Amino acid sequence: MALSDTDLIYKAQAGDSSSFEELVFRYDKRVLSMALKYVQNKDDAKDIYQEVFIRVFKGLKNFQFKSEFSTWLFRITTNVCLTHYAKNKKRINVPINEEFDEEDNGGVILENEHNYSSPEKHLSSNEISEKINEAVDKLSPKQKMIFLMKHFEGYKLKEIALIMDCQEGTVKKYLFEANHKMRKLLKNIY
Amino acid sequence: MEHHIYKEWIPLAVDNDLNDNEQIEFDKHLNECAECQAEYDGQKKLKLLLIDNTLPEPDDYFLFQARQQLRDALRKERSDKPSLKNLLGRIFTLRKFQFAFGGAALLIVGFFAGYLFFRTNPVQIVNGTDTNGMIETASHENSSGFDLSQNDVRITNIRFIDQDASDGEIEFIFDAVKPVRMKGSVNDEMIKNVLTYSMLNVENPGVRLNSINLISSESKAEPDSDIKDAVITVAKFDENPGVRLQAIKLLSNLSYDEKIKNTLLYVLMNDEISGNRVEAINCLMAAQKKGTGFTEDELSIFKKKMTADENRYIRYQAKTVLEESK
Repeated sequence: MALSDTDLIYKAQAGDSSSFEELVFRYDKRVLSMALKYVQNKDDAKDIYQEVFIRVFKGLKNFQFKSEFSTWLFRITTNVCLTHYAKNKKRINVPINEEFDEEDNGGVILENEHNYSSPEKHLSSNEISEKINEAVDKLSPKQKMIFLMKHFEGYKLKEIALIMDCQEGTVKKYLFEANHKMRKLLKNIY
Repeated sequence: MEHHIYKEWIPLAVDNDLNDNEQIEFDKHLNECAECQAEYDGQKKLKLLLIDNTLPEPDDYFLFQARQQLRDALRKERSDKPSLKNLLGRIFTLRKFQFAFGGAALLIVGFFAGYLFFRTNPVQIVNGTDTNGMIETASHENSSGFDLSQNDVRITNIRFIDQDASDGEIEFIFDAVKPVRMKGSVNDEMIKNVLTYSMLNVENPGVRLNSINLISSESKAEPDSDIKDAVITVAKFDENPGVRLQAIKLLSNLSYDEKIKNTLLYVLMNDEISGNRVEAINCLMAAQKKGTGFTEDELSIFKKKMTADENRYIRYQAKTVLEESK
């Protein structure tokens, strides 16, 4: 019978490297998936994946089961993703309260907005995915993270709040803003 | 109820997260409120669009590459720690040796205490100069027991404490590393532990391979679980395909169990080297011939291999496994 996460953690904390690896491989596809969707670049996704699990490796000995392992792991993942963005940002970082305004886009850079100005109803599935990717990339880091977790990773609002270590209301706010921006950016393809 | 509360319910309604009573109330409100209806329709459309057009997931090969890199990074992390400490830590955590090492440690402490008590010319540090002013060590042993005149002692990491020679003395610290020779049967527990350590942690693939070969040559049928786990780790994740192959071969000679089966299935699914996958599927087939079955999930791996593996032999063997399973 497969060992529980808790058993694997205890064994890994005692220095059992194969238990650590088993633990990693229970969740690493989801971590890689989240990283890939977030950065939309394979090399960067691998860097994030590696950084996450090195942090887990270093931090596991101090893990005290105050939360689920998966919650802790995905909290690290979101932090590394957001830090990665901060390190590599090429855009102006706008504070969240100023990020979105239905009237004027709140200063968010929409340099390719003309791409969405004409109806594009007959796009292939790949092309639509590409448009969605481009639109997701225009969300602020936190909006993007929450939007991806909600719509592509299937997390509930409560779970996202737990992982992001914030109030559920804050998650709702980010998600509301992200949804609005996405609808605006994608209005011509659905 | 206030309008803004219904507005907050919209994402919940889109995700079908409202309870029955809330849903009825919400539907009633939508019939009366054009603004909420428009917002609900918009969010629903977005939701459907996202369901129909999911973003790309990492494929198995990409995951495999990421795991390879992670394994290298973890090995580096582990090797950054003092290796002697790791080795001793590993040895001392083995229950079988705790008493033996406890006794040995007590003996060492006893000798050391006796030495401190009876010594006539205590030597805490290596000291002395010859007439040419060169540091002279040939006739001295330091407190750690290393004879520094021996050629196999390697001196590294010299840190000067007192570089001022005007008072006739200088003082410094250094690390003296001495090779340890072990001789004994491959079945000797101590030797097996060192081999296990080297199989997992030594950077040189040739040394890792030798370690597995030596464990394979062991006359006893079944290694203990620590060694088995280490071999499983190597079979799955060693960066060197030859080392992985040797570990897979070693596993195929051990008593077949769930752990080994899962490892072989993992190799079959993820190893980019077809030779390793061939070895894995051969072992799985041999187990099947002995009467071991596969679950539906496991059979789905063979189905995938039957159609998608680039290697014709693996496709053929996967088909055979599926036919045998009917």
